[in-house]
Amino acid sequence: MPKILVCDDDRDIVSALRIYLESDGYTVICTYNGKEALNAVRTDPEISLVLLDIMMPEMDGIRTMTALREDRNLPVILLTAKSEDTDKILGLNLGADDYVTKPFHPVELLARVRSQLRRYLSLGGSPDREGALKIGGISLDDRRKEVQVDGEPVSLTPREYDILKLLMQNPGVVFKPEEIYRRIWNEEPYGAEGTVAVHVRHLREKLEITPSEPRYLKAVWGQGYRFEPVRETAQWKGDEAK
Amino acid sequence: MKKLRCSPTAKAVAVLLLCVMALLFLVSLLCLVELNNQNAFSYGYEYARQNLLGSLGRKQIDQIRDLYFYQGLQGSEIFPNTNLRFSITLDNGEDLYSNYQGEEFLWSGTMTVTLPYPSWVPGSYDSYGSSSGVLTTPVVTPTPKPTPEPTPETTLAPAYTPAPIEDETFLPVPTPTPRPALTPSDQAASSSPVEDPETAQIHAYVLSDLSQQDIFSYRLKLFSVLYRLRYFAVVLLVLSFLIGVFLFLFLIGAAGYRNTSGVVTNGWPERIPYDLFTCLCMVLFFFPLMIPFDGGVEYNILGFLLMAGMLLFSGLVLLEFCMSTAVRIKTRSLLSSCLSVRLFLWLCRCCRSAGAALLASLKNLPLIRRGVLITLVLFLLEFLLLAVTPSFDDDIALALILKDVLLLLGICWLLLSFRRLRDGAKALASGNLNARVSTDRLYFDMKDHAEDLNRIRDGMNAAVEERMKSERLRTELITNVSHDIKTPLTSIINYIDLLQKEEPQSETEQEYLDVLGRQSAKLKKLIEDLMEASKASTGNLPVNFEPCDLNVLMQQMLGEYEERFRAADLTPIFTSPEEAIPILADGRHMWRIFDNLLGNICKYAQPGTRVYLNTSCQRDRALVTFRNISREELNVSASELTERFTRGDSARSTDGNGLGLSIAESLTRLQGGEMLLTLDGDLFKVSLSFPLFRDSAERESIKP
Repeated sequence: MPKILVCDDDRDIVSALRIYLESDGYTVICTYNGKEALNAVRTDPEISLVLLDIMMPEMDGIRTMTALREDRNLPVILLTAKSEDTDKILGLNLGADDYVTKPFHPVELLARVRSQLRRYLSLGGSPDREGALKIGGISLDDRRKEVQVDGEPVSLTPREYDILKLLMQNPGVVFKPEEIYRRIWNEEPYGAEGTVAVHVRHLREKLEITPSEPRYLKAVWGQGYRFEPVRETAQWKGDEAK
Repeated sequence: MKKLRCSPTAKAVAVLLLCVMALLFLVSLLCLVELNNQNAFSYGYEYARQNLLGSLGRKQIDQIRDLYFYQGLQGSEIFPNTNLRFSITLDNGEDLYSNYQGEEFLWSGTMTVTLPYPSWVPGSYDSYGSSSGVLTTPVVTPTPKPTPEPTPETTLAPAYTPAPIEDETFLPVPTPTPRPALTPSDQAASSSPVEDPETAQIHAYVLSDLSQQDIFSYRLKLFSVLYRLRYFAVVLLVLSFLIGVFLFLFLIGAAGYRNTSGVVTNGWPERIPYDLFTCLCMVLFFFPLMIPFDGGVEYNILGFLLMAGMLLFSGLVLLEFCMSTAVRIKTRSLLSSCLSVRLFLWLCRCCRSAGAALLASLKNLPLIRRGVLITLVLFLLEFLLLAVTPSFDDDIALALILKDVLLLLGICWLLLSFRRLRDGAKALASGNLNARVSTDRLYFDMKDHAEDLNRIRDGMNAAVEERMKSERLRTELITNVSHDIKTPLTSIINYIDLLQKEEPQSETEQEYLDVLGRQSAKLKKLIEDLMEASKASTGNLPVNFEPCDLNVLMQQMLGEYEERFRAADLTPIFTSPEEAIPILADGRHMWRIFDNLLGNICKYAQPGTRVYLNTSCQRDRALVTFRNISREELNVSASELTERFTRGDSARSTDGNGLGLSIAESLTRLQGGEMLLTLDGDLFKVSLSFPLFRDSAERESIKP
């Protein structure tokens, strides 16, 4: 079973996480500050995921993460009480694969852990098929009309599939609802572009772990929608391991 | 009176009357002067008459002498057909001429005349000039001697006893020839005519019957008339004076009232500048008075009329001058209409504008150049002043030049120091708190001042740093508190979840766990909202302004809320104009605002009703309105609703913490918009307005 390193200065949280993760079948190593976590990662090569709290004494999560990334390219999920967007962006830019804001719900956390581990361990095995679009944990095979999230197939309606394809073909580009409607429905919207928003929401509910805080399918409020280009740290590691 | 002063006829009549009064006044004045000259008031009629006769007679004797001795006229040619009779006798007793035949006379007088030259013969013309002879010799001896017939004269003689006194004044020169020596020769004259005569005597008599029309009869008749009217003349004088003054005052008062409006207006004379007008009036006033009159004019009726006319003209000029002055005073244009005053004011204005221009051009000059220029000008003035003083020599000039050069150097140094202070202060004023005024080569007060400026800078720096620090501390506090609360809450939520996964011992245990789970979730939401609200209300939130289309935003939000509206049994009706409604805002904050408002609607709207959403443009504002029917009775005011922790339902039975509207308002204001709540019965209306973002060029510059 994959080994997961948990690091938080609050022991209650650590033990709670341990219970959850162990009940889900993972092996858990508990550490209570950044240095311990670093040592553990260096000594135990079997660790395949790190859960890091940001606000910790002695060595905070961000520094710990950058330090351990120098040794190994492990997937890192940050636990943060700072809900400010700047902190999230900072964490992601510095190489975190995901983040969970406190107070988090255990189900959400477990879903994210599972997603990261799947990508880290198993996805590397599945070969990139010809014509497949792959961004982050989401891959779209246009030949088979198949979409996989972290290796698991997701069923989409034709409209949803078309929208996702359009957005994934142009990652980072913002599409107005009107434009999406015109391209997918192939007709002038005449006020019907409101349906695009409903479709995008459904799509998001199917693709995202927490639809209210999407990682891939983002709404740019007042402008439109776009597919977020995600950096592929874990992916490279997976290739390496292979 | 008011009507009178406006009527031109009244004024003309007044002017005429005034002329008449002036004439009457003059006539009565002349009359009284004449009477007084003859002492008629103090000595009575007879004396004054004799006085008049005396003065007239003496004039006639003078003429007789001139005509006879110097013009060479015959005795019969002089004053024929008059009431005057005369005889001329040489001092040797020889009678030269006489037409007096012992008639009764009113007045008689004698004059002793020195012959023009010793061998003078009657009828010869004096070619040497008469004046010298006349001036030195006129002598009239006292009258008592040649009164052979004392008949009426005896009665008269005592009455004019002071006559000799008067004659004394007439002949101040004592008779040069010894009279006692003459008297014996009088008798000898007839016997020895060989002796050359030196003097002659003229005896004149005014006949008492006055049968001829001449100056005597005329003047005496006039005099008697004047004397009879003497008291009337006094009355006339006073009356004419009073009436004249009254008329004059009326004219002055009425001057300028040209119509019935009661407003004083300027006429054509007032158009002439006052000083010019004054000069003109003076010339016109004195011009007739300067026409020379020959002596005889006073008895010439034409001459008299001419003189009177001239006087009248002068008087009218004077009157017009007074009236015009009065008008000018009334319209307050006396000084301003003066050419000289206008010239003076114009010069003042010129000086002032020239000074202002000079000052402005000086102000634009750099400080040092300005100071040096002023100093040099002052030096130049100093030298000019000294050059005109007499005690100016080369040594003083040399010393002065030395002093000036030193002074100039000193001033330059002062200006350089001052400029440094000035630049430092300017930098400080513009907010550059890193600028330090260097104190090198600054001395005394300048140095103190520079140090003071630096201290001010330090103080301001400290204050700014303090403020930034406290701002940072506050932000940190919020994040730290948020962290410190969230960490235990995480444990609580996790362990409750774990407990819920255990097999419940009893039904109540399960129930309690549910309560704990619900409340901890609520607490979590509350803490997140609280942080958000505190950051939004203090403005402690970064805002990334981007172009944002309200229509697109509303469509997106409706897409998100589609299911929740359906769950709450609400029908959203969205109306919007065809074109886009662009504003400049932070999309995430806009989402938060719309999320809160739509969330409120889902929570508090009456199920089964419609929710009206509308976007529109009004001039330069973009408007969004949310309208819904409240489920609960709204028993709070609109302003209370936006206060934190106030909710529409006072029982607080629903989930929610009352922060939604407060956060929405804070975020709206943070992005330059306004939020307005309206409660109308059960109708709950929220209006948001943002400044429109229309300029396409501006939009282009924002986009990259």
